[in-house]
Amino acid sequence: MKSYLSLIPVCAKTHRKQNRMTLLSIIFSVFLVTAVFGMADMEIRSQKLQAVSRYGSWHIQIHNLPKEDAALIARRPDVTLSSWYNILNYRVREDYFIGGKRAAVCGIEPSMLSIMEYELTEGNFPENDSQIILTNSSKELLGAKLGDPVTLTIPGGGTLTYTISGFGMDTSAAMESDSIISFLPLSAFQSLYHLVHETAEDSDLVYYVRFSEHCNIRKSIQDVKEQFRLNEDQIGENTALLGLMGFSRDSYMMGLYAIAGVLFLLVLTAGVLMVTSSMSSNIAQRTEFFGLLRCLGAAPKQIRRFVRLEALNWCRTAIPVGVFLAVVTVWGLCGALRYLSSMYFAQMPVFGVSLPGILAGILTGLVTVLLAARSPARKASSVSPAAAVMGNADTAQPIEKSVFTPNLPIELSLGIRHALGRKKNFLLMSCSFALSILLFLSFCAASAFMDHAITPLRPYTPDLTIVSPDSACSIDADLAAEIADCPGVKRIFGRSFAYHVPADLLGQKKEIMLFSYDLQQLNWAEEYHYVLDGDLSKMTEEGNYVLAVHEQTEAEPSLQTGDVIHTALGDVTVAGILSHCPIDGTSDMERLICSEDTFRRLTGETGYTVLDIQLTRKAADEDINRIRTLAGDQMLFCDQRLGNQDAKGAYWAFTLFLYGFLAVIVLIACFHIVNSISMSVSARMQQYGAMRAVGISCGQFIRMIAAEALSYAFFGCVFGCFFGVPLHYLLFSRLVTARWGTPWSVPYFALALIFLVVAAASGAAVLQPARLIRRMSIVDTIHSR
Amino acid sequence: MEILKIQHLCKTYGTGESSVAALKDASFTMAKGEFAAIVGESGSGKTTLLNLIGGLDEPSSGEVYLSGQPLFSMREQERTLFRRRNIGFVFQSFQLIPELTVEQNIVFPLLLDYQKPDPKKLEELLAILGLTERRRHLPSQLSGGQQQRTAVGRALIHSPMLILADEPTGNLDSRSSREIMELLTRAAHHYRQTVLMITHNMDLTAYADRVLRVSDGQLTDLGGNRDEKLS
Repeated sequence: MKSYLSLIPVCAKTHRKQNRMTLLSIIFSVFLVTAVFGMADMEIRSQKLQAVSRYGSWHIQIHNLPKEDAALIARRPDVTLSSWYNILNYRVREDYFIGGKRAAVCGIEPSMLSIMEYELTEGNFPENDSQIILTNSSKELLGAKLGDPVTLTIPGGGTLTYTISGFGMDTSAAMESDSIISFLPLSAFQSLYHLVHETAEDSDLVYYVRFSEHCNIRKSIQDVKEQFRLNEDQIGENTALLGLMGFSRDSYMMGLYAIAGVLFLLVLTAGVLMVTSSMSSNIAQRTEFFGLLRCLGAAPKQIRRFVRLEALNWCRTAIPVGVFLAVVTVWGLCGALRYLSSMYFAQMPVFGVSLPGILAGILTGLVTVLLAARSPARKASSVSPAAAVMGNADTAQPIEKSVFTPNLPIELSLGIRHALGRKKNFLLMSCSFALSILLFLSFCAASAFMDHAITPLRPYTPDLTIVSPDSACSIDADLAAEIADCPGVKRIFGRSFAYHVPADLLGQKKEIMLFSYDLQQLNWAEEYHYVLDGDLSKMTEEGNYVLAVHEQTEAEPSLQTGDVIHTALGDVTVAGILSHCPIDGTSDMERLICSEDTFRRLTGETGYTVLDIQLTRKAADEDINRIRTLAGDQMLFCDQRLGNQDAKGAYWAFTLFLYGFLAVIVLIACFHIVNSISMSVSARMQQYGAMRAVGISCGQFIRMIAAEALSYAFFGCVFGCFFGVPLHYLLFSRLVTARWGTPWSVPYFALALIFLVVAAASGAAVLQPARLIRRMSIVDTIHSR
Repeated sequence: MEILKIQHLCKTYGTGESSVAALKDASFTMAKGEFAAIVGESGSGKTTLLNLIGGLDEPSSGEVYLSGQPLFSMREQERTLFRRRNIGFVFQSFQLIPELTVEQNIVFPLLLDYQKPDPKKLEELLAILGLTERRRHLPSQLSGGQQQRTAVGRALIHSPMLILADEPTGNLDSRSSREIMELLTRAAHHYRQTVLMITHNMDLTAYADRVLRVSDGQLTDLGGNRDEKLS
């Protein structure tokens, strides 16, 4: 032995069992932080790719920028790419057509393709003003190929002919609107723009800038603003991308950062508390050992050093294990995400290693252990040398008063006393439980945010939609039957619409939108609990029954079940109220849903306005083309598969993250309760030995330990609710109420769930000590000192 | 009247070559109201014998009968209840529950049995123990002697048939030791309880009616009377 510190590994070997819980606590803390940071890193990478593919990789866009200033900006060392850009017919509602299909026309420079991360799948960027790039779908829609001429029809009927120089990726917006996106070189676009907007002085070009990722983008933006005297209205930021890069000043993003920071601190505190309580119990069990060291001449400072180094010695095993487990977990989760949404997470690395995650884990392990070791080290160093000699180390902190409760059985009285007896320990334990509850409630608020922010796909969400161009009931029911038989079609359902029907709504003259639901759609409303009030069975009856729609964001419902509405088509009776429907409402037009039979009876129309088609997983592009052909050119054809994939992917990602994190928090709470009770029992083993000798039975023991566990849990729940409910309110108000207006309510379900978990964990916490006590040798325990 | 009967009691720790026979074929009986002392060197096996008699440890072979009831034929739970009701323990290091007062510590075995202590009996016992004034004190507020008297009170409260005392005066000064010995003697002679005590202090054997010696796991009944000195 070179120094007294060489005792550390020797002690570690001897006290392997006692150290196990402390080791597990450190592993758990490291694992948690590494996994959370790792997954956040992977998610940010994936979200960045997503944001880039959706909005492009530009950082700012500048309106009304003089050309000279643009040239100066392009020469800045912190600017990697810049380009002018504008688009005509962005919403694809104006009369721009290419080969009979609606089209949007973009004017770009070659660098814009890189800024937008837009790839040409075939051909090249136009070399002159007579060339054009089209999206891939035009190959199918127009039967076009490279070098073919295409004619662009502009509003007013003018035509321009271009030669196709390349094809680029499809976008979800283009697919959804069944339109073509075209790209012209800037000079050709400007000519076109002036042709369409004859009086316009310039072509409203916007300058897009991408900064180097290695510079302080926030500072660069400020510099550009000041240098070129740009006002706030002139400059727009790619908030999504900047937010993901940590450079957003958007108040909402700043709020999210702050919340992420608070949650991280809470997790870190939970880790510190967990490790501290494990270490304190570990030290408490070895008080005499430290007393002996003091007897032999060790200074308090040396004891503190001993405890700290012992803790760091645990890190040698715990940190690599925690990091390894977290990396494997991250791999598993990334793999699961890719499986769940191969499109959305296509570029998520399955075997990616997150350096920030690992560094955060290592740092957390070291900081947690060093912080956690402070109090036990102080405790160990303050052990009196006499304690070791006299063998009464336990009386170092004498109990000041008895809390025996005459009305309670002795074992329950003692159990509660054990919990409340040592104030510091009691506070530490209760606060740990409270912290778990705080974390749980915070994540419940985040979960509410998720439910509002990302709408999961509704059962009626279609993959393809065929719409009558004049919003009339002009889609023949036979077409629906024909499409239903096509390969790749899982389900087809139609809706017939009657817009702007004058009606007397409870004495108020208003217009209504009446549309039909088939049986399938009525069943969904019932199955997915969209029925707020009323009885859907009436919908298939003879009377003219309708369903009103009342969204949660609206104030009071204007219609009630049983109300009779006099419409221009006839009187209808409200049979129920639905919370959701696929059609967005407007304030001046009430939505009423009826059965197909009622619609026919009221309007005399037999066709559909909209046909929604859901596809099977195996549906191929040929199947979709076949449906498109069946629908014909007269109908509007929307392919929503890409958008649906995005929504599904985002929903699954958030669900996995949030509920994964919630599960981890619950696990922390359970682990902590089990660990703490086990430690508490170990620390009192000698006393328990004497009690066994005097005649306490195993059942009484278990009740005593359960009383102790439940005391911590009870006070933990009280403290947790005291601080957690206001925190939930605060987070909910900032995340949800401020954005969507949904009022806060006491999270009874979440509270009930966490109470249940805490009670179950307290129950589980008794199992290990109960086993220990059953196996306990009374003789060895009494004579252990 | 025979209250305790030990028959061919053996205890071996470990197996094979490393096995140690802590107690070898010990047999003896004790009558009601008898006070016996067990003497022997450290590691001779006297504590092992006491633990076996108290049912705290299981013998390798042999049986202990208390009031005719075979202790090791009982299941663990039954033995615990039997011990709670029929055997009182006094340990060298007192083993009081630090959270309970003197009075609560004394009535602890009754509380475990969900019985209400008889206040008159408790008063009387506290008076005998000289702890009436200290009844509301916690163990940490008592001297060693007072703590051991509390432990004796706990062993007496439920009037057990047998009191087992393991070096009850080991941590006490001579005055306190004398007080404890007088209490144990009184329990045996006044209350007709059987007392078996382990001691290192040969002087204390003077209080016992009978002396047993354990040496290398072998029990020898030295018989003897009060005031007999053993070398």
